[in-house]
Amino acid sequence: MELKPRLILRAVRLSVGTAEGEVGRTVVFEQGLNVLRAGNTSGKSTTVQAIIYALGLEGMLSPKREVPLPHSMTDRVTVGGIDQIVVASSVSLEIENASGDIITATRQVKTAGLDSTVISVEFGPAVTDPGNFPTSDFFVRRSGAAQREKGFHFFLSNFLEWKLPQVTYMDGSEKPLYSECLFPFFYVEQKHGWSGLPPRIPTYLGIREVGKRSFEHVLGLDVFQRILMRQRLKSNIAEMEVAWRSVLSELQTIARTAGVTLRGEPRRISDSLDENFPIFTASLAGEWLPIELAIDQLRQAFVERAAQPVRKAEEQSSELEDELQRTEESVRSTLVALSLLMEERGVLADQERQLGLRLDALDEDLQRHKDSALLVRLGAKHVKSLAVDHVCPTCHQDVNDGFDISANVMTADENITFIERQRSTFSAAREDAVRALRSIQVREKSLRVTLAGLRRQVRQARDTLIGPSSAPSLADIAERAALQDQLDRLLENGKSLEIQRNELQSLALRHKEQTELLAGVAKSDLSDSDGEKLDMVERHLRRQLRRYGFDSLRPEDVEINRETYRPGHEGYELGFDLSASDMIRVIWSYLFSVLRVGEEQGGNHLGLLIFDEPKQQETAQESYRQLLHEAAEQGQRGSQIIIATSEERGSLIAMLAGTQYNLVDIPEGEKILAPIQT
Amino acid sequence: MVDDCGLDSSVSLGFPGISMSEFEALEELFAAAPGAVFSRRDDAIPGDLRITWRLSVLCLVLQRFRGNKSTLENLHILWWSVRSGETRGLFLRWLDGDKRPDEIIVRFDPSLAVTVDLALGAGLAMRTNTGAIALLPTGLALAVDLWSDADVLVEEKTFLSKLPRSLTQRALKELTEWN
Repeated sequence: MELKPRLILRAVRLSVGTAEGEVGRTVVFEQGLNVLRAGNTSGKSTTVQAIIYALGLEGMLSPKREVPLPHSMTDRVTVGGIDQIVVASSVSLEIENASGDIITATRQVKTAGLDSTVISVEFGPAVTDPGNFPTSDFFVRRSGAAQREKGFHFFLSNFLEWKLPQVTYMDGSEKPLYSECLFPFFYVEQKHGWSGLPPRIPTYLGIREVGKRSFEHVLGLDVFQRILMRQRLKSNIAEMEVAWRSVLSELQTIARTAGVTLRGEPRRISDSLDENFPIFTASLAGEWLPIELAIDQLRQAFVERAAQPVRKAEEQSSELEDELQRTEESVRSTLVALSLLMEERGVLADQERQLGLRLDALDEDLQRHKDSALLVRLGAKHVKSLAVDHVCPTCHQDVNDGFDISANVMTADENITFIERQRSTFSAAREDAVRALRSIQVREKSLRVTLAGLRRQVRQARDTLIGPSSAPSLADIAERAALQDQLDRLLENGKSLEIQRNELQSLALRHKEQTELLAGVAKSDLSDSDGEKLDMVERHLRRQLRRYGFDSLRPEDVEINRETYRPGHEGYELGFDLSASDMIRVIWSYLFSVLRVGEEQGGNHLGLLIFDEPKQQETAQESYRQLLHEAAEQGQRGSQIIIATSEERGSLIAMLAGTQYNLVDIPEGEKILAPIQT
Repeated sequence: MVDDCGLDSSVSLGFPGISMSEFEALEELFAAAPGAVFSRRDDAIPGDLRITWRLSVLCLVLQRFRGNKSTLENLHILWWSVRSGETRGLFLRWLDGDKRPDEIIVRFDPSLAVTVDLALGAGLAMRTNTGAIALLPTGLALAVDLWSDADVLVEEKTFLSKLPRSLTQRALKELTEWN
């Protein structure tokens, strides 16, 4: 099956400028197996690292922000046997995607005035066939490189038609998977890459189960789809919770206007599954009754009252005096409660204001640190010694940021995180204060309503008591009016309360359904086709182990762990129980198996594998020969394999006999960075 | 002697409800816990002490004065005003002629003196014969670059652009005198 890889490396060019002229080299790659042969310390690794650097992917190796290239690219280089200072250096990489589009990415390594976080992309084969191509600049190694339009990794994933999936981060957020987490499947670096089971996926980016997510994406496992499904269900559930909350708050508003309180008020959406809750209760003669009962009693009381004539003031006087006293007492105690509440509100409001001021100040300070981080770039142009090197231009001593007040100062980035953390604490505190304020306001309002009612009662009782004794009792009339009013309000709002309650229940039912679905998806793991893919990886792994002469265990006892997707034995990851050279064989076999299955079964493998010095630990010559043959066979199937080796030329050619390959041979004694004749 | 909780309370420790054996158990627990590790952390500083920030803002401010130069006194006034939302608002209102006697007065900030020294040393500015601080071409170039970059010092530039075209020394002096 001839499948075009997603990414073909066409050529890489390294160039280093010195006072004595330029050194560098262009290495042209072909499809299939490429062998880059050169002596030790001649710059093979530099060439391979340059590919990673040009793609802005050094983050796959370590979280450090240093240029991952040796000092011959950054500091000093030997030209014609003489040490020269590197004045300017850059790398260019020409790549092709599956649709045949070719671009060239150029990134500065060390060039005064040019930013190494910028990758210039020329839309054409600028290395192998230079011309005037349209150019565009993208940034890397800064936040947003993977998500913003001007970010290089955003551009690259589009160019590779590589839809990076959303994954969950440690902080619970969802963002796309970083390309840095996928490249360990395509590239084994010389220094650390062979020391343990691959892939060495960077964990510092804070992605949950990053190793599994990357593997699933590379082989396009359905598990990934299930995880997406899970995420979708989760977001549905969250939406229903929001809707439920808004219906509940509407219901609370209606209840308040109707003078109804809620008993058994639901706290969580699942509480609404019971259609009988919340119970609506209304206050009748100081007692809280369910609304239906209250309506009945009100009706009855109203009918009874209507049947009797309005009483005269004198008939009621002694009764009224008692009541007046009681009511006045209630007015006083309500006033006390109210003033306490207002005091509390004052304190909280003050607290909230203070927190707001503090947050504003933090925001301003934060902006300054962010600005100064950006300003270093501009400063580099005009005041390099102070802005970048932090050295006083006059006395040449260190002048660090904030030296006025401290000798050990956080870097701008540390300071930014520090302030952001403070910010989140303070804003949480402010949210708390706001919430408390809101609840106090509600309580205050209800106390005021109660107070107004009590005052009205006092007034009416007084009016009746001081009025002519034969006049109709105002209190009696007012009581009738109040009864009528309460009854009307309950009747009017009872219906809409019920509608809202039903709405709450139906949301809760749908919520339950989605939650159950989620539980179902959460339990199931690998689909059948996932299982087949993993079986295939396992078969290819065993086949190759046999081919390379692995003998620490029986190859058929090595398995792919269905949980971690990594090679293991009896449930344990392969490790110390292997001889060093068998470990190397496992690494070869595993990465080639993933490549093979990716190529046969589809997925997101780039169809590319780069091994930097795979002959480690005195690997037997025959094993190495088999690896080269496997690589060539895989190359014939359409993948691009790049192997950098210092194997002696004669024996290398003998081992490669009978295969198709492209040999880039740097003669003994020559360096990759060789003078360029212009 | 055993109390209602079933704990040995024969030894009184002055803490109701906690017996000796519980104390011993706690002591053991603490002894077994890993020791606390304190590591030195660098100090957080206010953003306006970052060298790039202060040099940049100094150049921006100087560039707003007539002839790109100002006395140290007036520089202090603008340095004070540019640094917080409150003082920026206050200063703009003063320029509008709305000044109230109870308002805070300008504070002189020692960090400006250091900033000016740095700028002199870095060749961004120079001291004239009269003692005024004037921008040099490098400083002016930095200021121009800063104006053309829309992403940095947004607040500061918004404020400065609300000031009159070029500030005269006299106008400023009048502004901060109370009589």
